[in-house]
Amino acid sequence: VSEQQLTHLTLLDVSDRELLLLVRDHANSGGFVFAGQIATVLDIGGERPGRTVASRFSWLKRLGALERASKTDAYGTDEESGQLGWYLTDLGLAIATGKLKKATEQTLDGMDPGALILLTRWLGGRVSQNGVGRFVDREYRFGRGGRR
Amino acid sequence: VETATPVANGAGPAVAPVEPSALDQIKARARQELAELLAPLTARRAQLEAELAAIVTQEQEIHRTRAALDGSPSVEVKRKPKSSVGKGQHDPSQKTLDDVYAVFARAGKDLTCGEVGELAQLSRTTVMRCVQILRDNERLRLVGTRKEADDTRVGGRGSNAYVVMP
Repeated sequence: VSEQQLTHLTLLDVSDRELLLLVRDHANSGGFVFAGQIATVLDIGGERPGRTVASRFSWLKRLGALERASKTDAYGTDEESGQLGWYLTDLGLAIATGKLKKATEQTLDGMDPGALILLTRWLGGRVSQNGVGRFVDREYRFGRGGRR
Repeated sequence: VETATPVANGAGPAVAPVEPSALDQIKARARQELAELLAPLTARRAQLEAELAAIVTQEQEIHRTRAALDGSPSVEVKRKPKSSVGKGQHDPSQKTLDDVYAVFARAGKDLTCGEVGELAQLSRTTVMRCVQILRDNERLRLVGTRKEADDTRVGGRGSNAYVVMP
């Protein structure tokens, strides 16, 4: 990723996990963050930098990692712009900060290629039951491709 | 600083102070000697890296020629998409990656590539490439942009700052 100013916010510019951690870092006392705030932190250029971030937030909301504040939530509305904030769901927090247990990691590291394929098949079935399939797709795509 | 000197009356060694300027001279000489020791090692490393790159190229040539002789489709090495960072350079070594990561881990706060370059004595381009790889491996994360201490440009964009991934 170059040091040039961002005018968009794709998965390869800032990963989902990075974005969720920014939400955690910059949340106000009510746990809410505003799209314009993150656009300022990342110094996003263009005509509507806040909208660029809001677009990614909407996507994370569809995946279940973020949720939108309601008008009645304390600290949930930006006083300047009047826009509603966003907050991390339990799933979002788990994606941002969760880690595999050491023993699980060692077991997975020790798997041979055949077992890995069986695991992938099992994972395919399991995630579609849990409704996190699209998120897993993104994680897999990011892990395979990366930014390089 | 004191040093022992022999005394003519045989009463044992007497202690004479060493001038601070003499100590500075010793330090300067030691620095120079270390720099002289380091220079050939750095040159040797660069030479070995160049040799390794040449060997890899030859190896690929042989594989391609052999595949052509066997009539099987040649296996092309998948090229990475061009990047504006580190153009024409190969990936940094594992040691460089570890060094860069160690700087971030020790700092305990967000750092820009320029700052890490100074701390690890690496070029900014190398650090940027390392950061890119470490972000891909989810070991570092972007936390925003900020002005570096030595950046005096008016209205210029700050540099990206990174920290260790939790």
